[in-house]
Amino acid sequence: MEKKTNIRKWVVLATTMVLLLLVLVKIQTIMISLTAQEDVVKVDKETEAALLTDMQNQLAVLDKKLSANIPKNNYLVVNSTVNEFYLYKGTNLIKSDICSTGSYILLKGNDSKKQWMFKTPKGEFRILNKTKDPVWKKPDWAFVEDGLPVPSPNHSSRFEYGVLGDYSLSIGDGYLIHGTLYQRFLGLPVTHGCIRLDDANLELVYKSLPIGSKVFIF
Amino acid sequence: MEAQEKNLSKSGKTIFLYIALAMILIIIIFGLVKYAMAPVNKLAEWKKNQETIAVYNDAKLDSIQRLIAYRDALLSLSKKDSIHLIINVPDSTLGLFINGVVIYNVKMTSMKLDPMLRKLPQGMYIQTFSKPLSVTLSEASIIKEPIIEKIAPKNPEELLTSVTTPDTLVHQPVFIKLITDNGIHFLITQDEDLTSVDKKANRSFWSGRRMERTKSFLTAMVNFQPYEYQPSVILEANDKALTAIYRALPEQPKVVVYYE
Repeated sequence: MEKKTNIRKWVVLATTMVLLLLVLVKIQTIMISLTAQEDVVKVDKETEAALLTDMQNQLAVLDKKLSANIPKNNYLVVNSTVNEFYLYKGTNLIKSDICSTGSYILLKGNDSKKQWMFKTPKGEFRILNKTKDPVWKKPDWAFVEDGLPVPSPNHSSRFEYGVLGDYSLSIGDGYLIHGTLYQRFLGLPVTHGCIRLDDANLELVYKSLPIGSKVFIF
Repeated sequence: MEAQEKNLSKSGKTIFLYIALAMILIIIIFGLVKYAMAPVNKLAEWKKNQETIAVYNDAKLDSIQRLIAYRDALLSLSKKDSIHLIINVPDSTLGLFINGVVIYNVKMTSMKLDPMLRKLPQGMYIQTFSKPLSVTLSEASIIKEPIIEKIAPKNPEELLTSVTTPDTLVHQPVFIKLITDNGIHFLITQDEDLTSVDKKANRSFWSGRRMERTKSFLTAMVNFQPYEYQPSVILEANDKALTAIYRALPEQPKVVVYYE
């Protein structure tokens, strides 16, 4: 009889302990449930329907305002981390493929205090200019990074033909979308800030994006 | 006489034991109250800065009110000229948003909302999430800009010896923490820990958080201050996508959150 009572006591104690432990573990959730109460307005069917229509109208207006921000014409999105581009028309993806973007190399000049950061800028840009058969006018860093002396601004050695591919599209501040001779590096961050595409993609982008089209880079 | 002394010392020890036990119990209860009251204090803090708005006892209306709040938050971001983050729980997506356009969307593989956020009253939800949240602190296991410093070669021969590996080729574990001005912690982590480096980074990220919470709790206990509750949102997605998202965001981005 005494043994039975003892067992019962232990069972009660163990159950209490388990319950207490559960309460302790969930104490914050319990407190949140107890506190997170608010006064609600009870609505009848008629009011509910009226409110619902009103809110749906409000939602439609907001949706319209939001969709007005999406470019109607083609636009380009560039992911500079994974080196991919996405060409869109509205919300429809027309084409996505690999590209090359900035290498994030900070080139420090040898004897001067000049330095150059080779990164692709992020944000929203527009196509400012389009060129067929572009000629690359090599900037100073192109010589500095090859260990060559920097020539005068209009020296003939600054002009290279064919290295940018068949087309180039300017997005401002000297940044271009262009082709490349080094197709094997596509998909890698190897550029000086420009966006490199392969020949077919460059042609598609050139033909799809008129001047003024948006380019989003992240 | 000796037996009496023994009895006295025994009863003294018992009293001391009882006092010690009572003190331990008081400390435990004190700690427990602090721990239990933390979310209550946080809710009160949020409520303090908010107005009362009409909330209906109707699931359909609740749901549409939340959608309106989400759209309002997106609209207020649509004129901001930098990149911001969108967390859409019903769609399981993490997105990048600039000037009103979603430029990147990635599927989340796991999402966990804090009990406080899950049980947040509708009125508080609407007022909290109908505008973008401002991130005041962002930290990650990866660097924002993988800059490689390079000294220009003196001549073309020296150029050949200065070949570098592009950062994209190197896999790094991605664990991101964003803290908003109202105290929500967004813990965004990669969904797979394939290498030992990943596993180590995972352990370090979560043990760091546990340590920080414990330290905060003990400090609150010792200083008789309230223990600060940290509502959290835990998200998991692909590591490359997270790297792209983290590197795209400015230091203090805005976050738009939507959940049902």
